[in-house]
Amino acid sequence: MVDPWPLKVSPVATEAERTMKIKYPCRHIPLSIAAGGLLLFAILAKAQTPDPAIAALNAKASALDAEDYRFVQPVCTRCHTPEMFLHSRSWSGWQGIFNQMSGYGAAATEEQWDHIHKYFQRSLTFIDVNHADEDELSAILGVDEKTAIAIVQRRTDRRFQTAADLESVPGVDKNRVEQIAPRLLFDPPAEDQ
Amino acid sequence: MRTRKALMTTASLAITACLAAPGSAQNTAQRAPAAASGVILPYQSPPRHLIYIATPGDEGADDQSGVIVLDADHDYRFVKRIPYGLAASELPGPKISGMTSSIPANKIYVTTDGGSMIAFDLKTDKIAWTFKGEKAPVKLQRRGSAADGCCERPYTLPGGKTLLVASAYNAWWYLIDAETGKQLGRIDTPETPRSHNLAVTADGKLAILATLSGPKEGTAGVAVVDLPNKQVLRYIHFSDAVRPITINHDGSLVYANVNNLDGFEIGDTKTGQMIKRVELPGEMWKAKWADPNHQHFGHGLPSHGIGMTPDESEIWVTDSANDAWQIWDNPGDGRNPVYNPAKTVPIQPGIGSSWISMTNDGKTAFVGDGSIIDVRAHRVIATMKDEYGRPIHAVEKVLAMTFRDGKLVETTNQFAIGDAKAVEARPERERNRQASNQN
Repeated sequence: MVDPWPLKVSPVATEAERTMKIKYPCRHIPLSIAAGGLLLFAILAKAQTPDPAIAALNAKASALDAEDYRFVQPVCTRCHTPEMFLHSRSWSGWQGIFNQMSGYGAAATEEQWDHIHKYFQRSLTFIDVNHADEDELSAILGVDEKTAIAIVQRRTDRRFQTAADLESVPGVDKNRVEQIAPRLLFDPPAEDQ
Repeated sequence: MRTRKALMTTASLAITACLAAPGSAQNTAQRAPAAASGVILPYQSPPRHLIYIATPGDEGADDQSGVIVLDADHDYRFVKRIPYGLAASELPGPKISGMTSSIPANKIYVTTDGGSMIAFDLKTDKIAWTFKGEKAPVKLQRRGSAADGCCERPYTLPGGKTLLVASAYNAWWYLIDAETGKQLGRIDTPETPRSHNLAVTADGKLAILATLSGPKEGTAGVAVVDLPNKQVLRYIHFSDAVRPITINHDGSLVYANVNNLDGFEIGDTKTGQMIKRVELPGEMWKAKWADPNHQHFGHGLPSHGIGMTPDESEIWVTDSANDAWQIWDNPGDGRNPVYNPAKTVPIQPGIGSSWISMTNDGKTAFVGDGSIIDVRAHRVIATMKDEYGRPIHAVEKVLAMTFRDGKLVETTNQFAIGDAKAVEARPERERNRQASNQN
């Protein structure tokens, strides 16, 4: 009986070996499948196992806005952890980042982009209180159009100086202002001056 | 043998990986919801919003020249000045009569009282071509402007490949290839002989072509033109010479400033009738207008400048008697505007503000005295300034343009006119606003 899986191949193949090569040109396929399967299993098993550090980052990111983060996570953590974006930027800065990530292959549906925008605007965007337009004020301060217009009207008469100053506009939610106080800019950043 | 070893190694690695502690791979413990259905879209590069201001404008004395570019994303700070290529001895150059742009050609077009239209390539800021028009059999001249040829107000037709341009106060209009500057055709409007202002519907089917003449000269005010067939459908007569105009989204109504009126008149383009005269309350302007010693009236009339928000909810009219933009609410079918003094926007006194442009989203207005206005707040939020920080007071006119990767992707026209999409969205906006007011 010819051993179909000879451990040694003589420099000069026997007739039987030549026959095997013709009959089973890819005789290592079963082993390849087995190894590949194990590798896939390993990856899946590992994927199912939460990394405490990354899970903590996801929890932190989700705590900012759990509903919208459900749309952020599949798009924005596919290649890196939330640590990469858990800090604040200007809205134009975030748009530049989204564009850069898009160049690396990030893609989303229109609905996902809407939620991603909302998540970043509400939770991770600086706002220049004395220059932002009504839509940006509404999105970040969480105020209605009427209040946003009142903010614009007030600042054309007298610029806002402090968070307390902003809170004095009827319709502005004090709790929200306190929550986002570190992200309120009352003078434009140096590069915008 | 080597193959076998490699396979064994792979298998070992796989087993090791199974047993290893979680490492660098992305955590998916918190399972995200199934991706929303729909087409997967890459993120678009961030847009750059620039304001192109053509100078010198009418009645200007601030010695500006060229197209001044400001950055709308950064507090309207100065970006650059695009020169007309004039010798120093020719500066600041002839008054500009208008400006338009083309997305497919990636160009802007500036018309001058010097008898030409100049195209600038937006990639290089260099002059791409100059169009001079043709000699007129009978020369008409107005305050030092070109006696014949080209050009008064330009307009880019839908699609961006053709320009419709008024001749220099003569009884015809040019159709020009936006890419090459070659003349494609001509529209004659004999009953409105001094071509000046215009507006075109978004579908390109209807053009409203206005003359700088009126009943005193025995002419109509505007020609309603079937643009694809280059045929005048009808003329509309107004009470006096027609000045700036605006139209609603389908071109069924034209709102026109006329001489000797602080306000405007409304014409129905389907019937050819002037259907309403809308005046600012008489006590606000008539005595001032009758007073020969009264202050400056820009362009020689109380109201030279009219536009509407894209959703047509407001009509903005300049008021030289009171140094302000007056605003009429425009409910229903747009035939019965209601003056709303609570929305008046005061502007710089004594300068005059002779026209208005708006961004496509209707948030921002640019007016002739160099003021930049927040439309919803009805407040001046900035003043156009040059590279030396000097206010720009005499401009003619402004385009708010959006660029991505250096390419023009969105533009406005120099007239604030109605927009079908904004009109469609208006009921929902008004419901939201009412709900907001009730809270």
